[in-house]
Formats: sequence, C-alpha cells, structure tokens
Amino acid sequence: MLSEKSLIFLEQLMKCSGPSGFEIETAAVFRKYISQFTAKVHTDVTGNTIGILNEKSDFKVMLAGHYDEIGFQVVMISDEGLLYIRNVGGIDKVTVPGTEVEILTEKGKIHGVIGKKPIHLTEEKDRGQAVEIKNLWIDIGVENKKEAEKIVRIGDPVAVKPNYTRMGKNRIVSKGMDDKIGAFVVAEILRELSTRKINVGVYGVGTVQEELGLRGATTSAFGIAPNVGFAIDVGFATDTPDIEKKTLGCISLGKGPILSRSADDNPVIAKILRSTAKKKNIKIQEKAGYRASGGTDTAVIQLTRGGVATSLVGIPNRYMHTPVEMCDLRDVEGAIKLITETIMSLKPGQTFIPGID
Amino acid sequence: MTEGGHRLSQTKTFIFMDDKEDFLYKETTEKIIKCFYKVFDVLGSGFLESVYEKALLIEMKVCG
Ligand SMILES: [Zn+2]
Repeated sequence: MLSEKSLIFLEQLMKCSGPSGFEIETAAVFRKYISQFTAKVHTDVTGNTIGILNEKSDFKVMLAGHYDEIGFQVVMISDEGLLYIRNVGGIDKVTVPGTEVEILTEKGKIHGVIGKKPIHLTEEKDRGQAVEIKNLWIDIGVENKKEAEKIVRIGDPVAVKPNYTRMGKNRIVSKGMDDKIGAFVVAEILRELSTRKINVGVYGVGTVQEELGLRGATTSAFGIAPNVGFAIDVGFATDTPDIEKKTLGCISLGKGPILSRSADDNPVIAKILRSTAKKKNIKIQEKAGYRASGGTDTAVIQLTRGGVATSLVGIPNRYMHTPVEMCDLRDVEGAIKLITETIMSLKPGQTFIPGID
Repeated sequence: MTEGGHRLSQTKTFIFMDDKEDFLYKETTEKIIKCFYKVFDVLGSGFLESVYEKALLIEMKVCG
C-alpha cells in the first residue's frame, strides 16, 4: 500500500506542468522528493534527474520514468491578443478544443483556454471534423496584442491545466499521467530500496523529452553506462470499447503491471521478472509489445554503448495522450514491488546473455 | 509513450520522393533513381564506388 506521504508526492508531481524540453517544475518536485533518501542526486545538462543508491558498486541498474508530458508552444501572437500554438509531442488534435491550459511564462503560470468557433457557426461539412492545431488558439483574456506581449513571449511552453483526481476505489486520472506515473514509480523504488541493504548500484532517473523521440534516456543512459535498465511507462489498456484486442492483447486496469516481450526486452531479465512476480505473488499481465521494437525509453537504453539488458514495465493506461489519462493504483504498487524485488535478487557480475544464462 | 512519428533517435530515416510533388526534370530523375535501384539490387553493398559508377553507366545505356 502506498503511504500517505507517497500519495501526496504523487499529487504534487501530477500537478506540475512540464512539456518536453521544459520540464523544470516537474524536475524540481522529483528532485526534492528523492533527495530525502538518496545519497546523491544530480540533474544533467539535458534536464534528466538521477538519484543514486550504493554508488560504489560497479554493477549498475538504471530505472527510467520520463517526467516530460505532451503540450504546446506559443508560436505567434495575433493583433487580437490570441496565441497561436504548435504541438509538443503526439497530441491528439480531436481532444484539444475546449481545453484549459497554463502558459509557463517567465513570471509564472497564466491561465488560458483553447477556443473554437461555435458549432452553430460551423459549416455542415466541417462539423465533427477535428480542427488542425494551427487553426486553434489560446485566449488569455486580454484585449489586444500589446497587452498579450506584456505577459507572454514567443516560445513559451503550454501544458494542460492540472486536473489530478482520485476516482472510485483505486483509479487516478490526470493530464500527463504519461509518464509522470513512471517517474513516480522510479522515486518509490528508490525510497523502498533506500531502507534495504542492496548489493548493486541503483540509478533512478526522471528522464526528459521522451515524447520527442526518447531523447533524455539516450543521454542519461550513456552517462550512467548501466548493466541493466528498466523503463517504466504507460501501456495501452484494452478494456474500453473499440480497442482491438486481437492486435494489442487483453490488458485491463487493476490487473497488474504489464511485462512486454519485444526486441527491446532482454529475455533473461524477462525471465527473472516473471519468476519474481510468481515468488512474491505479484499479479502481472503479459503482452508482446504493440510493435516489434520502440516507443519507450527501453529502446534507447538497450542500445547504449555495448548494449544493456533492458526491460519495459508498463502501467496500464486508458485515454493515452488526452487530458484525462487514467491509471489504477494497484498496478502502480505492483510495478514498484516487482522491480524492487527483482533488483534485490540481482547479483553483481551476473550476466544476461540470451541463451547462455 | 512516444507517438509513432517521433522515433527520430531510433530509425535511420530514408527520404522518399513525394509522388504529388512536381519538380524540374521529374522524369529524368525518376529514370536515374530506377537505374540506381536496379544496380543496387543486383550488386548489393560493399563494392568500390567506381564499380557502381561503371554498372550505373551500363544500366543507363540499356534503359535509354
Ligand atoms: Zn506518451
């Protein structure tokens, strides 16, 4: 069970705004929390934050949860004082109109709304069609360009307004669940391991710019040079209508973290994870990966230097890349426990060569 | 999870010609590219540049 303290941290993290490339607020909250129980914390030049346990060990385990989120950037201010935007990461344009946002200006956060022409005035043929992001704008309540320019600068990052809520017995919903929930899992594993005696080095990383092409994991993995790497990221839940089970498998919220078997996952580590789950009685769900390789930080950690034994641990997620991404706390707890116990079972010098384990 | 189009760091991207786009010497360009692929299909990679050059010349004569 997650402690009250952990749940408060989770809420704080979800209420941060940090679109890819502008993760400063999220990084600060993550850093402050993990500083309480890691001997060494450092943020690198790209913005990744790394908390280290048992630094003296040569055998290194890297954990990655990307704390960037999808969002926008201001590209132009119109004469009316409206802000035109471009997406940061794979935004689903259908979900954008009507969204409340915050603009991260130098002087602080400004509230804005993404407007759209009323349906009454929309021509028949355009009704029900998604409006391109370039044809949408943010209204910040000013009357003209001059007024807007006093507040906002071209390039200012924009994020969906925090909306973290607990629902039902175990569900949580928030913007940017992808993948601040992964960063949360990383932090909680560090916290748990800090109370135990470990014989490997553990490097828990909140990575940046995942949504733009796995960029933060690329640099942090090179810097750490790990032997083993776990990426924790959201994975598609298929327990809502119209998601094809025949291509994605059967994954539900609340039935445990997802262990995937794709080219990104080292088969030896995969076996260890599965046997740990069995021994410790942790529920897991299995999938083949929705494509043969790629899509998460696992892919680039694996290809670092001479190669790393990696595995993806997924948190089932509904409504990915919309402002209301939903997860289940039981899956989050399962992931923390599974990776913690797996790390406890690793021995320095252990090898992970497929077929020779 | 990163969305499809952003796998810049993972994939070596090939640049394909867009069929819809019109440009100068479109037909000639297409012919040359066709010849190049024919040569590459037969020879594969690993030969010296001069070998490809000679092969491409022969192929281009054949194709007119
Ligand atoms: Zn994502």
